[in-house]
Amino acid sequence: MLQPLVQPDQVYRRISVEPLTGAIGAAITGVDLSQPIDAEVKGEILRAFHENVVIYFPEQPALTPAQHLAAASIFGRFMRIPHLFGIEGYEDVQVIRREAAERDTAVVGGNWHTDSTFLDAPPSAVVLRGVHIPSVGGDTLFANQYLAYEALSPKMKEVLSGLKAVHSASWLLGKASKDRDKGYGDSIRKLDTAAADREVLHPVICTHHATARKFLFVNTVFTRRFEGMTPEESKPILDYLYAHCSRLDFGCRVRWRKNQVLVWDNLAAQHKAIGDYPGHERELQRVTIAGDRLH
Amino acid sequence: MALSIKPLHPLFAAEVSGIDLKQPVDPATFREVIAAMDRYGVCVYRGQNLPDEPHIAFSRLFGTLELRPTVRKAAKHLRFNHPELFDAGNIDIDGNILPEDDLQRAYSRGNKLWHTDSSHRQTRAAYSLLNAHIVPPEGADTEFADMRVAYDRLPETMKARIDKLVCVHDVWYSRMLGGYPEPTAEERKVRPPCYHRLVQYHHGSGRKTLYLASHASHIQGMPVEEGRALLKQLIGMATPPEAIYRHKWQGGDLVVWDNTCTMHRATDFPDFTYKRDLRRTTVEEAPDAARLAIAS
Repeated sequence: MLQPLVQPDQVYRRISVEPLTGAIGAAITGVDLSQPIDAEVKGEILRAFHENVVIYFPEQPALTPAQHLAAASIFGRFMRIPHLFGIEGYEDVQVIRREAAERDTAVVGGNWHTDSTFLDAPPSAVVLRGVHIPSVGGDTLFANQYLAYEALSPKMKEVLSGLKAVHSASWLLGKASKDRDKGYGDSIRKLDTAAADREVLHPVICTHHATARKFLFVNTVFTRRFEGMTPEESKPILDYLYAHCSRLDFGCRVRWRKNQVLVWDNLAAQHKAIGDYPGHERELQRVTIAGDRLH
Repeated sequence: MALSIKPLHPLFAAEVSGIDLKQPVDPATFREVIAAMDRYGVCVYRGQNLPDEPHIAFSRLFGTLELRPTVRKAAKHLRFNHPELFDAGNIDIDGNILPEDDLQRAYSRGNKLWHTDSSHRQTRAAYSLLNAHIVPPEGADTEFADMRVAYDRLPETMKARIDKLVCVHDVWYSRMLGGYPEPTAEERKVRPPCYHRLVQYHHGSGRKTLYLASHASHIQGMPVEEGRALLKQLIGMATPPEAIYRHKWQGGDLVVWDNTCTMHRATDFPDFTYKRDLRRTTVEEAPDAARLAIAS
């Protein structure tokens, strides 16, 4: 039985929250992020964020980098992703860009994943803003990992709760990336191979610091194997979990607009970029919110 | 400037370093200060050694400061020129340890009960900033517990039972629990009881939290003794040993806590032997104030 995300008694006084699907995602209107946000509105935005895992603000003015940072600070303190470029003077605002002429490179984030789980303390959230958006295409898919956990059988939950997974950036940026057909072009930094191959451990089932709910935490891009198991032993279970965690009934698909601000919970949501806009430029700017070690 | 954050407990509380609070704090850095407060509830700044003026100046960045209440106090207790400073020590104006029968001692004893500051005022306190000038060599730790965690850990039946309850908070109730004499009619009139929802949303995190304190005398619409028993039960459930961060004070510490999502209590020390001089500022909650200024 899936738990409904939005409790009926939770009324928002200051903002409007419209869920996009029954599983994840909500549009927020009635707030202008270029203006100072008072404590009560901040609290309501955070509530909507925790309840819906992904929130987006479709009707925003063109935020300046300073306003983008101010809005992002609602969600926590900033960190920088090592392989992304920042904008001059505002290094905490980093760029996701694909040129119109770029056809032979892989789309960054084109596989289901959570960002930067190769770090000891992966980001807790990402606050993005649409800068150049193709007239059609380039949507982002999201999947709710609370629901992915809750839908597992009791015995599977028990088995996975005892496991940790090994994560590294090897496939994205390290040794294993050399074996892939397509590289990423110049839109991302080259990381030191040794740093990219460094392995870290995270529990497979984690508890969210803000909601106290459990979520499934493995992803196709960074998870290598289970701790204490061989890659061969791990693979069938991981393949099952990858198929499971991206089920359509856990997900939503968000269409971008220029100036739209979107926030995803980088612990409880996985995401996937759709590269269906060859011949068009697309640019998002993002501020990454720091997280803690996972428990 | 990027602050360095080191969690002090698995559930909440962090040490913040990489900042000198004697210097002006720029808006971007202050946003990190607030982000750390929202996440951890209690933030410890070691080795700041703040004089009163920068203590008050840093506190003002968080909002409007509460002024010290006027209670039955002899002039020898009014140690500070600044009305924003609350006395959390055991010495008089000349630096002498207060005698056993001193009213200030009786007043402070209530602080050894789990509470959150100023819940007995209708305008709640958002933050307290406690600055250690002199700390005793042993004891006098302050214990903290996160009420968002406490709420999350309650059984669903209890969450449903308490969801709409309103508590009556009365400073004289917790003072009398601590051994302070029956308040005068004037004292009661100046500081009357007030009312707060037991379960609230914490603005800084969007999480549900318990707003609980030993100042809570009873629960509205419930027989007094029944309400007191429920409050006592909840305070017990909210403060199991594994959920407590116990702060061991060092001279020069500044500890900042969010009163809207934590409780705390003082613990014993040989307080006729050692001097303790701690000074607190208290920031009023201002839900409509634009606390997150846009950086220029």
